[in-house]
Amino acid sequence: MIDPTRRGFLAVSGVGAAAVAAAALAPSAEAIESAASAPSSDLGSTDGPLVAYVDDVASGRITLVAGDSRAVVTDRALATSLARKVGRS
Amino acid sequence: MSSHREAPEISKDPAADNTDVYAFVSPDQPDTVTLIANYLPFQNPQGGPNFYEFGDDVLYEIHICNAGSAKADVTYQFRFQTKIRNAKTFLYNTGPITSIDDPDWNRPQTYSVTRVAKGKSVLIGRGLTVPPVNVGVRSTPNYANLAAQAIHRLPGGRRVFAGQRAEGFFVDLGSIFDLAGLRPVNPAHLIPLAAVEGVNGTQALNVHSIALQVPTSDLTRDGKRPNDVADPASVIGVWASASRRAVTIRRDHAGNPVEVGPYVQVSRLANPLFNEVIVPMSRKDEWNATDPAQDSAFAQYVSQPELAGLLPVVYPGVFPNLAAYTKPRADLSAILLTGIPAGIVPGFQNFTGTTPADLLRLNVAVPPANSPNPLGLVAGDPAGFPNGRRVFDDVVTVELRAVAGLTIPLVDPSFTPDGATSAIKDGTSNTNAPYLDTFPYLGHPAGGYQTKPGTPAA
Repeated sequence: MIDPTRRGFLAVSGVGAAAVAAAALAPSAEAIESAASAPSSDLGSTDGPLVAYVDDVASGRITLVAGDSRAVVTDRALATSLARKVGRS
Repeated sequence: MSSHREAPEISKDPAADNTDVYAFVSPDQPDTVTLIANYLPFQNPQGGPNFYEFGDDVLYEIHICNAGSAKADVTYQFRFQTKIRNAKTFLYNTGPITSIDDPDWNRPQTYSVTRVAKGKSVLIGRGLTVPPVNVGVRSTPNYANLAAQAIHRLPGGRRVFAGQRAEGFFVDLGSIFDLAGLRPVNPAHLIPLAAVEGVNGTQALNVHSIALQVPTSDLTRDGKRPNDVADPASVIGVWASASRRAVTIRRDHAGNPVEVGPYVQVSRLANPLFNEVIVPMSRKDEWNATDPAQDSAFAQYVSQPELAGLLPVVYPGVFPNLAAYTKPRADLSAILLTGIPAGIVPGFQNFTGTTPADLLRLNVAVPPANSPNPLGLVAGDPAGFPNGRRVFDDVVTVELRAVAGLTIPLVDPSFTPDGATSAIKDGTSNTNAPYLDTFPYLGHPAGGYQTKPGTPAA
């Protein structure tokens, strides 16, 4: 129940104090990425390009994008091989 | 254009630049709510030969939360498709366009509307035509008639319009972004100049507008039209967004890029001026890519607004009380991040819960005002901003005065606003086409032939 007094109002809407502590906790790129790209074995339509980009060669993390879908796979050997194709050791 | 070119990345992407959001109980149809989301700022009416249009590669959305979670409970999605009728000509139109189906219009654009709610997507309109832009008296004679043809009725008592409108937001851009200048009070500035009337920086400019009018019951948590202002179910939170595909592929010699992947949000907007003057430049792009439910990460910029610290510096001696006030700005946090709970403003509340989120909060049980005051709630008109936002609400004046301390007494009666606070204004008013009394409420766009460019000065 909302306290209609000014003190209650401050407690309810005084997000400033809590927010100062929370301000450092901006969503990380990792968190956003993992929330947005749940692994999927189905990348949908067979029409249109399939894009694969290597996020991190060392870990082998590769993001696949096609149609409306995105998937993340881990394959160090493939990531390394792809990197060598473009002159990255 | 309260939020126009407000972040580094979106300033390079006008078609996805969400500039204003409006939400209000329709004054002429009070059992409905009108939602408006504007994009594509700073449109020069003479901007041919490829005139402004919605992006076929952009997903435009208007979101509504009604259950206090700051997450979308209802979303309306708009997808556009453009075609070229005559591939052999460079012309936008090959003769006068006298109807939205006129074959002389070489580049017609149509769109679909999808309503997403409770996990289901329902297509509620397709093949709807956008009117041509207001090219000029020869190409688009009787523009009001063309625009009227582009108001489409949808099932369920809904109406929709998507197309060019006159920019309805007025502000002295040139002065405000010239070190926070306000022309009427120029002499008081740290760098004093003579006092003059404000200059509306959006004069003679157009914008693209998506306007949707739906029964109030379409938006509320219980599917009913509430009449109790105190009922939490009477409050909805509204915001708009634009998204693009995750990957763009540009191939040699191909012309058009290929877009692939799920949509990624690149722009969002609820309250006017939030990302514009509250979020620091280094985080504006991040803010555009996040959802309102994540706004606790930005709440510090509301409770300790940079602009409130600048005003006493830029106007020395004018804001001593504001300068001395060091407490967190609970008033601004309420107005912008949670809504105003009951008991603060007699007979009014638009509280959506404790989750800090930039939402345009509309209490749909507050009826339209018989004599609207553009200063809205702070002037005793609860039908106006920040209870939603009407097209004519003077949000610049309201927010300037709020930041300067006018609303602090709502939460801290020990504070006395500085004498100048209630007189702050940028001195502008709407100098574009007048607002309409009926849907879609924003005025007809300036025509390319009819409009004279401004007078440059260095």
